[in-house]
Amino acid sequence: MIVVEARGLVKSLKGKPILKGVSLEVSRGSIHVMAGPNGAGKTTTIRIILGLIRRDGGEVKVLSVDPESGEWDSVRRRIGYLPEDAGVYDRLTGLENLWFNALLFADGDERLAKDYLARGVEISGLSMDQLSKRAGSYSKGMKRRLLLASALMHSPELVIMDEPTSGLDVIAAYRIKSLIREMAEEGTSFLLTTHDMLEAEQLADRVSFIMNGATIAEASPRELMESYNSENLEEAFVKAVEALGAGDRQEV
Amino acid sequence: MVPGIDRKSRIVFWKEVRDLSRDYRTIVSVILLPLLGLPGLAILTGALLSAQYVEVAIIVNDTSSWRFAEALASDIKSVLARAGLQSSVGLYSSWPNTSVDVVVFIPAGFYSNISRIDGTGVVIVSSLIGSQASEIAVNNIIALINSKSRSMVLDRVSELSERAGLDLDPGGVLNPIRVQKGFHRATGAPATGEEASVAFSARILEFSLFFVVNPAVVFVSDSIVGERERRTIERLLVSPLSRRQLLVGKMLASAVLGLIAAAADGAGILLFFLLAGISFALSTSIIGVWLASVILLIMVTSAIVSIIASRSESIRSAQNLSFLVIIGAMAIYFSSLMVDLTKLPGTVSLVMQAIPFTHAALTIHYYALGDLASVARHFAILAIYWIALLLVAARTFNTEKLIIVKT
Repeated sequence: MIVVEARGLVKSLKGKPILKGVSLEVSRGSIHVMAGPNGAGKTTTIRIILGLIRRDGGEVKVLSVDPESGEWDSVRRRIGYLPEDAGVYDRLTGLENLWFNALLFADGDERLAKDYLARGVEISGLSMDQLSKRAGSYSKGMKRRLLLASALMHSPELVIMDEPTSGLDVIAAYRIKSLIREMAEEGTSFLLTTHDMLEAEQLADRVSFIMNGATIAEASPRELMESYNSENLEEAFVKAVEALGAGDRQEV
Repeated sequence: MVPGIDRKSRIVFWKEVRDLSRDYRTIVSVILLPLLGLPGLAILTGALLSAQYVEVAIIVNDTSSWRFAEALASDIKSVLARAGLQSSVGLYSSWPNTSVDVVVFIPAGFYSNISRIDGTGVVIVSSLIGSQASEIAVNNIIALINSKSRSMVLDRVSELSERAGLDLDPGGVLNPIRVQKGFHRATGAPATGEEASVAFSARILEFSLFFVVNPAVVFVSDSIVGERERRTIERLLVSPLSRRQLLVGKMLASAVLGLIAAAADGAGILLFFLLAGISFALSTSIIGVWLASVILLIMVTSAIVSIIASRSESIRSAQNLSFLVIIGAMAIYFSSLMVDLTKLPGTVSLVMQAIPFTHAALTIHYYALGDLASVARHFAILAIYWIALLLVAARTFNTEKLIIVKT
């Protein structure tokens, strides 16, 4: 079953074309990675998929609903989102940050919110002592763990993460990747972005190469490497970009 | 309960109150500074006023007037002390060599003139130009001399009636017409002096509304644009929270904190006027009307600022743009101190009524006049303004602008 389906997304900002035709499909329980350099259009694609900005053209269905339709509000609680450079509420404690998020996703049902909170605390890996301190005093890694816990605490069907390991130390990044794999095995679908081809290779069931606002190739990492006769995904990406001269999207 | 305040709005409200109440810098600047600063300003001004020192010279060019001049000097000293001025009063036979602030000149022939039953003695009172303290002193000295003149007139009338063998009331001769002041309400019913004092004091309450607008602008700008600056807005917009729920939650939190700030500011203003020696009378019910106006005013201001904030690049630019709102409010509430907003000509009144802030002042104004129907009408207009502006804010809430930061 397809949980995210985007076809020919087009978007301009202040007259400048940002997306010129991004397409992708995320299957249930899979990890789909949008890989490409900074400025390729990955974040804009995610924001369109989440209904945060309006598309100029193309079609999107997330969990069978168009994000620009009136039904979108009912879908949002089934999604977990971790933006690339998201912040936390510095003046709230870590626990209060999690509780606020838990209450929102539990629709104010305190019993359910407590379950979400317990799961959030577990995912964050932060001690109660750390969680009782104001989030403003946290290191970048601790804040990221808090945000990750907020995105996953309500056991969403679909998780969208923009550069989930960006700026994190090796151990923190490893923990996040392990958690993603674990949750995908349990049936959660993931749409991730990264500019790190090694990370894409390690995590992805399926990869979309995004370049200059368009999808230039989409397949599993193995298929992409075979298709471009490459030893790794990084090399495959470079070859895909070189092949772009023809201007075609490679369907593998 | 106001429609739209559901569980999710209350969750946002909870978060906002926690968050904003820990923003100590803003709280100090918006709540504590006016509360302590305004009375402090009055105390400082009062202290500086009473610290002023005035030198008064009485130049006596009439040897017969020395005793009168000595008594006058003593009276001037007491009058100036009551006016809060420190002074030294000296008697001279010619212009003193030192610089003086006030000169009271008694020319030759003064005493013989005032001693005659129909004579006029002239006193020249001169103040140092550009001196505020001299002006205050001169006004008090002239009032003192007028009072002396009036008691002389009464003596003269008594003497004249004695000479004429008539039984006259000198006060009646002096004041053939006496004015008796009364008060009435807008309905025509008579009002007491106490009610008149409350109505007059209501102007101070109308003026104090200005201090309500500023905290609302600060809190809402920080609450909405701050989400973007702290990079928390994206997750919030993806959460199961509608734009309206988000705005209502934020506005309610701003209203609570704005109300605390308004109460602090209001108390600061009242203390300022009290310490400045301006007495006023307020009833519990008019304070209740003021509070209701404050709540609606905060909600209206919050809605206007929300519309501005969701289109602003930063907290600073949101607050700068919102300054236009503050100027509008300032114009109305400052003018309400001196202008009767209900007595303006048709077109001007129409323009004023198109500004929502006017209605907050008018509720207090009409309540003080005892016109409850107009109070209800202006409360209703304010509420309609709020709901309409809230709907516009929710409909035009520009997530794209909020998310895509100009770099």
